Amino acid sequence: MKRTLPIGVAILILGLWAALATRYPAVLLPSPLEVVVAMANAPMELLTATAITGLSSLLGLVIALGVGLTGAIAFQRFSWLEWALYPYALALQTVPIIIIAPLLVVWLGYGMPVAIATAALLAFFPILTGVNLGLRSVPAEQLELFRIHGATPRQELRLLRLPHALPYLFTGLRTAVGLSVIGAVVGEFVGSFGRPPSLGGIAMSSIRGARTEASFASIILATALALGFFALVRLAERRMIGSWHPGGNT
Amino acid sequence: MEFGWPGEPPIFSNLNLEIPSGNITALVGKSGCGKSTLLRIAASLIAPQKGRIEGALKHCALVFQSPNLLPWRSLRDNVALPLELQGEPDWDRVDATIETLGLSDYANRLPAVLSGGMKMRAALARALVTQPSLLLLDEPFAALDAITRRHVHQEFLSLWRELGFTAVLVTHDIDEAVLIADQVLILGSDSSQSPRQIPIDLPRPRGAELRHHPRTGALVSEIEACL
Repeated sequence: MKRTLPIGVAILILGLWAALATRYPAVLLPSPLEVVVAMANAPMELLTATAITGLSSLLGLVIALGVGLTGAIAFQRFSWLEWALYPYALALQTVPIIIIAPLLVVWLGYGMPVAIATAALLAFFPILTGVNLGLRSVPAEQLELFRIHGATPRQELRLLRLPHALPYLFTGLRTAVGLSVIGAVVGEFVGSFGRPPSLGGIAMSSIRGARTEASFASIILATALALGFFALVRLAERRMIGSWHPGGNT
Repeated sequence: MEFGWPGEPPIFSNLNLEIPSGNITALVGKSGCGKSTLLRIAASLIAPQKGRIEGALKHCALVFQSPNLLPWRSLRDNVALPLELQGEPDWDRVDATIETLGLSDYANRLPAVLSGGMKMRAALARALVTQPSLLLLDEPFAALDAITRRHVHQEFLSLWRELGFTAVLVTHDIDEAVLIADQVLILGSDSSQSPRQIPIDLPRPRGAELRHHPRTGALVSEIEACL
């Protein structure tokens, strides 16, 4: 039931989509079959574009992970740093990415670096806030246990705070993977100009060329990419914390 | 010794206590009278505003109200933790301590699959692995069901006979205090008053049958009258 229900919903949506598509021209709403044909007509281009967008998202996510983890550890260690910088991290998160992206094109030029940067910008905040909360919410008695046995701050971080923060990191990562793909696609939308081929670039150029079915194909592939990343995060979560944290098994 | 939280009236003023070496001392008193705070001062987790604590405090270990095991570590790694924090753990000693507590079959299990009694025994093992001269216990048996609690009491007493550590036990359970301790200290709500000391003259070793001894009942009544 748990597995069959979503499949049922997918079939229902496809059916509705196909029924609606018969009433409108393909340039407004292509049918599912037309989208599949568009995919089959340019498999290499779409595969390469998916790989490029995937790579941009992944690199952005790696940067976000590095910045988010380092930032959270620094914030926990030095509260004054959190007081000084957290409002700006929050502000950065609230500025619409679509406004920042053209600026990044001016600074970084056209191509993958913009997509990587927008992916990283969107993905780092949930990681930062998740890990920050995890590092700070260690139960007082566990901290006392470490202190009574003379633990150094480094031991406290490595053996207590970081393992305790793992479930929080994964919660942040679940949000961050989706955001990294969105960030990469927005970056490509604004700053790719078709080179290298990317899902955001294809979506943009196909809209301009009235090839709506290709635009749909790139949307579907971007969604599949994000779902794939999400599944990988869940797999890692189950492997790393599933045996001791209930969140790892939900 | 004097202690109070900032901006609040003192919890202790002019407190003077002696804990006899090799004995078990039970600390009882109403909620909020400072039993756990006193334990944390003894463990050097909190510093008193005036006065000091003398004795073998370098080698103390604390058993908490909850087992307080790290859920991502196996029982064996949890027991080894205090030694790991001081350098390379002596695994023979870790395994011997686990065996003393009868947990060898569960050494590689995670805390999530252990029963309440096993978790508490693991917490005791983690404290005893450091071979402390002073063992501080903050209501460690409170969360256990009555039957498990009786078992753990007997296990604790036989460990104490075997290892000869000094113990300070904070408890709400007067029966437990009388059955385990050599002396009971009653902390009152008046911060300037010294705790009342009641020696427990029940014979040792103390089996579960002592629970029904008339002297036990008399001591429990005497302590209850002071609270």
